[in-house]
Amino acid sequence: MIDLLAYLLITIALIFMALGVVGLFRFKDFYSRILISAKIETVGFLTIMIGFVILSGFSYAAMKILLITLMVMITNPLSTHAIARSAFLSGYAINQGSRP
Amino acid sequence: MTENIFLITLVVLALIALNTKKLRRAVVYLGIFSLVSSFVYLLYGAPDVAIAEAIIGSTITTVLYLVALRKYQVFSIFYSKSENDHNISYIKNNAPFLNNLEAFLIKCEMEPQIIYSGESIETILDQKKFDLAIHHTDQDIWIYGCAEDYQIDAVENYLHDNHGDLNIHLIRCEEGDDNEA
Amino acid sequence: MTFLETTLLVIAIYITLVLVRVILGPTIWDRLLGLNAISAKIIMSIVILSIITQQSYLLDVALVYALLGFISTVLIARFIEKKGDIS
Repeated sequence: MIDLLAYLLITIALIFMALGVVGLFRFKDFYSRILISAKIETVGFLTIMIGFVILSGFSYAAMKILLITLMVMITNPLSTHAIARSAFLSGYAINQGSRP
Repeated sequence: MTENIFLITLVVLALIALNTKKLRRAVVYLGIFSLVSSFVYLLYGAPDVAIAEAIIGSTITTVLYLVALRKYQVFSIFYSKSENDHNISYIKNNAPFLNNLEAFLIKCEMEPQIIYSGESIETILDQKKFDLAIHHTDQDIWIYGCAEDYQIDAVENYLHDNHGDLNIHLIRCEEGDDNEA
Repeated sequence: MTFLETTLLVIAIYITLVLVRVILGPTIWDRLLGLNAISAKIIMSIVILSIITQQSYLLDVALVYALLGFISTVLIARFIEKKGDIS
């Protein structure tokens, strides 16, 4: 029963990441792509890691997985922000006409 | 099946990193290459090698390559157009001599780095570190370069031989503090 | 093929799809975005591998990745900053 919940969470996370990959190709503007990537990657990572914690039970490995999740939750938005800041300071123009 | 996908990914990344023309792109490709290769080490049951690959290949090598790229003789060309137009493909189609100049510099074992700037030419001349600054107005092309730079004579001869029909004015700046890139 | 192995296969397919974006990407920031996404997906793959093989020391490798991928991404992003529309 508890395994079914974990499988459901992992499947939801896989669907999230599939949407993120589709968004990487569908959007024509760089800033739309980086928006999609930042949000979808973080939410998908959180969901799939919660699924793994449920699957591995209450143990030492589960604590390590939670620590990894905490690290990635902090560093992934920061690195995406660094990329977007670098692109914006370098003068990468926002393309106004490319609404999807 | 999963192993095969990762191994094919490794081969594709190595080929692309070898065949790319810009060194910055090769650094990014090699970063992805070392990430995937250390996962392959994990798949074959060698976690200690994987940790060493992650530390050395993914971080220290990236830092070393970036420092080496700074030290390498990068010939940075600032390109400023009179209109404030950000569309890169338009500029590229409109200036075929820029591609020829890039090919000439590659032949001279330099690495040209063309920067399409939207700022005015005075800002570039004052603040940026440049080797050549090109200002493209409607009729004329103004090229600014440092007077002590020995490459500028070769560039001048090349432009005089191959693009004599364009109105190219080459101006040698005197100051050497700002543009020793 | 169990559920977790299928998940690993699906993530491998995602990595190849993001790799297409990395190869096609018109500017270098698209490639950096792909590097970031691939790094996150590799961390997921390591966690799945450690659950499949019941070896919890593989999680240390994932922890090292989570920190070092961040450092390399930020370093490359700072290096190419303020250089105009480079490709």
